Amino acid sequence: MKIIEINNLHVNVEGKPILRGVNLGIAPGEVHAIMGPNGSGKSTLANVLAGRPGYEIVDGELVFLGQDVAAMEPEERAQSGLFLAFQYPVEIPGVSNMEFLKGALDSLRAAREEPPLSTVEFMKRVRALAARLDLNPEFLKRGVNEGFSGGEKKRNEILQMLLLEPRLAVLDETDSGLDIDALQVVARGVNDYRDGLTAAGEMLDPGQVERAVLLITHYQRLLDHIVPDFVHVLTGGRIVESGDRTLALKLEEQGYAWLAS
Amino acid sequence: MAGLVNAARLPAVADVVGTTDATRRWLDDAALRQRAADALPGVVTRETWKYTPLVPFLERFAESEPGAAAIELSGADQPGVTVTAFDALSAERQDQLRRAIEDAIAPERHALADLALLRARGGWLVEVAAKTDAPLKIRYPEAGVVPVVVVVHANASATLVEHLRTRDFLAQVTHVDLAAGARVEHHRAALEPDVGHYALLNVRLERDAAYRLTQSATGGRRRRLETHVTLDGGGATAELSGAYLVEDGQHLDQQLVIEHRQGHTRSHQKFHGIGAGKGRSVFNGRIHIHRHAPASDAQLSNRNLALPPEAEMNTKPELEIYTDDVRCAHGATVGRLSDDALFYLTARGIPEPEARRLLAYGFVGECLDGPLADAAVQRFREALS
Repeated sequence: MKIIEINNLHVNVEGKPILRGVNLGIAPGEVHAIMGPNGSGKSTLANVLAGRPGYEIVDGELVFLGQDVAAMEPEERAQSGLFLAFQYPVEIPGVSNMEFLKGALDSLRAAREEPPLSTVEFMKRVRALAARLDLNPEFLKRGVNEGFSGGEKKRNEILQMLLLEPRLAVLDETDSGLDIDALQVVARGVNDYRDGLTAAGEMLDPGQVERAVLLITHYQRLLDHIVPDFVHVLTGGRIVESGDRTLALKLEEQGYAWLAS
Repeated sequence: MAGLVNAARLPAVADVVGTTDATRRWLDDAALRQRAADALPGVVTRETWKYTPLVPFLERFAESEPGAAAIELSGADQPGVTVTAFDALSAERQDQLRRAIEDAIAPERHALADLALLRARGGWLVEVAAKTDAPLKIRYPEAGVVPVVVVVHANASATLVEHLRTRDFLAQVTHVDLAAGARVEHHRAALEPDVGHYALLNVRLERDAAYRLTQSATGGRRRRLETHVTLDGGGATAELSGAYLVEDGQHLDQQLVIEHRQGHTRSHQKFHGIGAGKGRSVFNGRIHIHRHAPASDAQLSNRNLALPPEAEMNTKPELEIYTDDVRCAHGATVGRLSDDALFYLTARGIPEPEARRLLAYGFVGECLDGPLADAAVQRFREALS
C-alpha cells in the first residue's frame, strides 16, 4: 500500500484555483521532491495535506494510508501519522517547548491508545534529539520558537519530526534561510528519519521502515544532501514533469522556462 | 454609561462611614469626611467609573462591619520587621501617618479609599527596616475593611505576599512606601469570588527604589482593583505584571495609574487578560509624566483575549506627558487566538479544544511569576477546562 495517494487534486484558496489536478503516489521508503517556481502551488500542496483551514479541496482525493483524509481535522491527520515541517514555524510565547512537545506526543500516543511517556523517558528522548540537532537543551524552557533564529526554528521542526515518528513527513521549504552548516544538520535529521531512527534512539531494521518523505523546495542544493528517489516539477498547479534526481540538476542548470505549463 | 449616576442620588458620607466614635491623631476625621464629600460628586461622573456602578459599593461600605478587620501576618518575627496597630503608634508617628495617607491618596481618583479609612477607623502599619529574607505573608479576612501601610526604610528590602480569600465584601487600602534604595517584591492573587471587592494599592517610590508587582485576578461579582504607583525620585523603577480572567457573569475593573514625578525613572507594565465567558473586563492604564521629568521611560502593554465573542473587554490607554525627553510606549489590544498558532498546535496532533486552552494559558502565563503563580494557573485551568 502506498503511504499517500493524491488523485486529481484541485484546491482553491480564497476562491481562486491554485492546484489544478495534482496526481502523486508515494510508497514506503521513498523520498519525493517537489520543485517549482514561486507561485506554482508548492506550499498550497503542503498546507492542504496538513489540513490548514482556508484551503478548499474542490475535487480529487487525498488518500493517506488507505483512508481519505480530505475531510479530517489537522489533529486527526497528525494522529494518523502525517507531519508537516512548517516553512514558517510559529512563535508562541508563554507556551514552553516542553509543554508543547509533551502535549503533542501525549496526544499522538493517546490516539494510538498508548499511555503517555514518563517525564523521565520523554526528557531523555528530547535531550538526545536536541544534541543530535545541535539545539541547546535550554530551549525546552523557552516559549515555542520564541526568539529562535531561522535555523533554530527549522531544527526544532526536525526535532519534532524525529520525536513524533510520523509515517509521512512533508517538509515545506525547510532549506530556506539555512546556512550550509544548518542545512547539513537538517539533512542529517531527515536522512536519519528516512533510515528508521526512532525517538528512543534506535534504528529500525531496514525492512521495517514504513516511512516516506515529501520535500518541497525551490532549490536543488538540499537534494545534494537528501537524495530523492523521484523529482517532480509543479507549475501552474499541476505536476508537469517527473523524473529521477537528474531532473533536479537539469532544473538547476536550465531553470523552469523550458517546461510547458 | 451604566456606572454614571446623578450626584444627587449619592448617599451622604456620614451614612456610608457611620458616626465618629473617637478622635485619632492618625486620622483627621472631619477633614477626611469633607474631602470625601467634596470628591464624590466628581468621582461618579468620571470616565473611570463608566463601567462599574459606584452606589452599590457605597451601600456595601455602609453595611460592612465597622472597624479595621484583623489580618494574619507571617514572617513578621524577623529582625527589622515591626507591626503596629495605627492607634498604638506614638503621637508623632500618628501625625506622620496622617500626613502620609493624606498625601498618598488622590481623592478624585480613589475616593473610596478615604471612605474605607473612615469606616475602618484603624489599620496596620508594617515597618521593614532591614533586608529581609523570608516573605511577609498577609492573610486577609473574607470580609471587612482593612487598611495596611507598609513602610520600607532606606535600602531595606521585603517580599510581600497577599493571598486574598474574599467571600463577602472586602475593601482594602494598601499603601506601600519605599524609601531611597528600598526594594519590594509584591505578589498578590485575588482568585476567589466576592460580593464586592474594592482594593486600592498605592505605591510611592523614592530615589533608586525598586518595586515589582505580579498580580493575578479573576472577576467577581463586582471587583475593582485600583493601582497607583508614583515614582517620586530619580532612579526609581517599577515593574508590574498581571494576569486576569473573567468568566460568565463576572466583573473586573482594573484602574492603573503610573506617575513619573521625577526624571530618570522607569516603569514597565504588562497585563494580559482573558475573557472566558459573558462577563465584563475593564482595564484603564494611565501613564502620567510630570513636568521636569526628563529621561522617564514608561511602557504599558495591555492585551486582551476574548475567547467567546460575548466576552466584553474594555481597554483604554491614557497618556499625559509634560516633558519632551521621554520614552513612552503604550499598547492596548483586544483580540482572538491566532489562527496560525492554533493550526501549528493542531497540526502536531493536539486536539483543538486543548490547543485553545494551551494558547490561552500561554497568553496569561507570560504575565505570571512568583509564589502565587501556581495557584493562579490552577484556577485559570479550572475556568478554561
